Amino acid sequence: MRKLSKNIYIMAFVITAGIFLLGLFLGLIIEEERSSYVEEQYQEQSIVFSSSQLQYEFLSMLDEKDSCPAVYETLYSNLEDLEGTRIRLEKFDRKSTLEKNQFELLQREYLLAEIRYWMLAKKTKELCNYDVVTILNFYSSEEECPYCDQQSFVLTYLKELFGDRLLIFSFNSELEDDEPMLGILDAAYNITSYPTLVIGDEVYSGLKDSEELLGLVCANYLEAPGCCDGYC
Amino acid sequence: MNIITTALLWFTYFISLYFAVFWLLVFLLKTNQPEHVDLPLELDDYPIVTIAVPAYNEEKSIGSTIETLLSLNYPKDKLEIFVVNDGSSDKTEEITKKIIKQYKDHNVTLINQKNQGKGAALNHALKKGTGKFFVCLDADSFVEKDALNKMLPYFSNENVAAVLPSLKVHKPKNLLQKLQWYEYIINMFYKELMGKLDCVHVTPGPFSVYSADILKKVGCFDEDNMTEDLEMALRLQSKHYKIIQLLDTDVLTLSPENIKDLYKQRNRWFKGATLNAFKYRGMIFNPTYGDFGLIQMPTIIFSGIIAIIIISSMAYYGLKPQLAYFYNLTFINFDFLTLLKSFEINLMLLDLDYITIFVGVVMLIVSLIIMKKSEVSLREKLTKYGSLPIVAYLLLYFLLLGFIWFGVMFDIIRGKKQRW
Repeated sequence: MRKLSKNIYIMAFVITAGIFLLGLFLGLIIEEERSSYVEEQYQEQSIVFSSSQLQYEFLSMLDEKDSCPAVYETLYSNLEDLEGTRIRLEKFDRKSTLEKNQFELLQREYLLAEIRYWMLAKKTKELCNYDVVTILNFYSSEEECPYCDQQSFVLTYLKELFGDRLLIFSFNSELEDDEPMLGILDAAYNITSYPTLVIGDEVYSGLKDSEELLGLVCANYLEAPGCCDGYC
Repeated sequence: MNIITTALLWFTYFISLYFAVFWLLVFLLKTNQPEHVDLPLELDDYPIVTIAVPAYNEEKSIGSTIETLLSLNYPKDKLEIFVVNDGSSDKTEEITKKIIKQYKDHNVTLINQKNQGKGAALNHALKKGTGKFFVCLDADSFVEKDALNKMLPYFSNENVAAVLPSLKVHKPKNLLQKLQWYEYIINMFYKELMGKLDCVHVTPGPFSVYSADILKKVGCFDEDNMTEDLEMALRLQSKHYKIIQLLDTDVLTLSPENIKDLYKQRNRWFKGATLNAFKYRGMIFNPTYGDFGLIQMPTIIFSGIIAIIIISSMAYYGLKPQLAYFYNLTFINFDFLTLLKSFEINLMLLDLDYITIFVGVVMLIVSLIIMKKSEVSLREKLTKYGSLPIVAYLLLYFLLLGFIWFGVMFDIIRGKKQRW
């Protein structure tokens, strides 16, 4: 019978397991940090939203159209902020391995914020008579919607072209089961597949590339920006 | 990603780390040295040593190889050297004859055989030789003068079947050879650790010294094997003989100088390891064979699979985002300019992929410890060739070996026959 170094096998297992546990622990800490970061951002953004809302109400009460540019400017930059955090949150959620549901509530909160901003933007737009096009982007998970990633990429690109004359609101349909508001929106626009875009009042299903979208968006302006004539 | 792939990947990480920790512990805990008795001082008592130099089309190096043997610090009349010309079509035969004439007072013999392979060549010399010890020296290697004097004393234990020198790469010139220089140093360190647990699984061609009696007892070299040195070591292990790896006796060997030759060499080694381990599969996880059965046999069998899994996962996670981004670009007609104009760095610490970083840092620390320890044990300076080859070794070399494993698996699955 040859020698078996039992103690080394056991010690190596304990040490290896220890290193893995350390990694796991580190992971937990980082995911906790991530979720508290998003939470903090959300609280800040809620206050900012209240401010935007108040500004709108002030406008409509006094019929003070001169302040329109300033109010729209704040609304636009707040929306950019919100989008930034929402996209980051989505990445965190995809990366999270330890607690799958940790980010779900936060995602719902951001979905609702997105809807609130959309409605506020719509009202402000009408009140101030702004020539701005709105796109609603209904998307879903990679398994359910292989082209949603591409669609979001094209939309981001379009946003770079049009700047503050294009507002994009993205709704994650994975949250449909938990969030009734999303169901109401889906029903209103008759959303059955992903990706689906709502541009102005028209509904378009399936992936649209930048050229197609450019045409659709430009058709919605009263006075088209230079980009529509090829001067981007 | 589905749960099975994730589990497989983490299992692979765990196993790889386990192996590394295991051998580091062997280094720290097993400080026993192999026992040896010094050779007698009387020259008459020196045992006869048979040295075989198998040569197939080695006209370039055969001369210097024989000369390195003639300059061994060992009594001339106790050395018998057989150059086995394995049906060479070049000037190997002429050159050998010339040297024999030149050094008449040395015992050098030429054996011609029709091309039968290295295993047959070794057996030929083994049968003709009268030595108590049998040494094989590939025609592309050089030996230090005192090699035999340092190695033979370890045969004082009757159970020792082979004593191995530490192989080093001879004068590496290009980056690829420098990478191999590091590889050999780390491998030797690792093999010495294996020796501490009686786990050495290969007795390589350059100057492995065998007990001739034991070789004959286990049935000489396998003539139909493409890695007869590996097969012999496995056979010795299966019969519970001891193999000792030394770190203080240097043998220099030439290394492949381009990727193609390296691929050919490693493809043969890796394939030989896998197929021979399969031949001796009865030892896998078999406690009768002690540590060799429990950790070494599984390592030989699974290291290829582990390499392939790790390389695939790295390729997948490294390349997939790039490919996806490229695919996305097709939908905006590759309008980089707009993207560049609005490009801003918006990265925060929390965005980093901590799992990858953690695995990377752990691997790097383990590698650095191993490199540091090998440096000391092998009496070399790892910074001898600057820091670029070290960085390349740490970051790229395993990728190269991984790709070679892909080739090996492909060949095995396809059932490609190679000359055994």
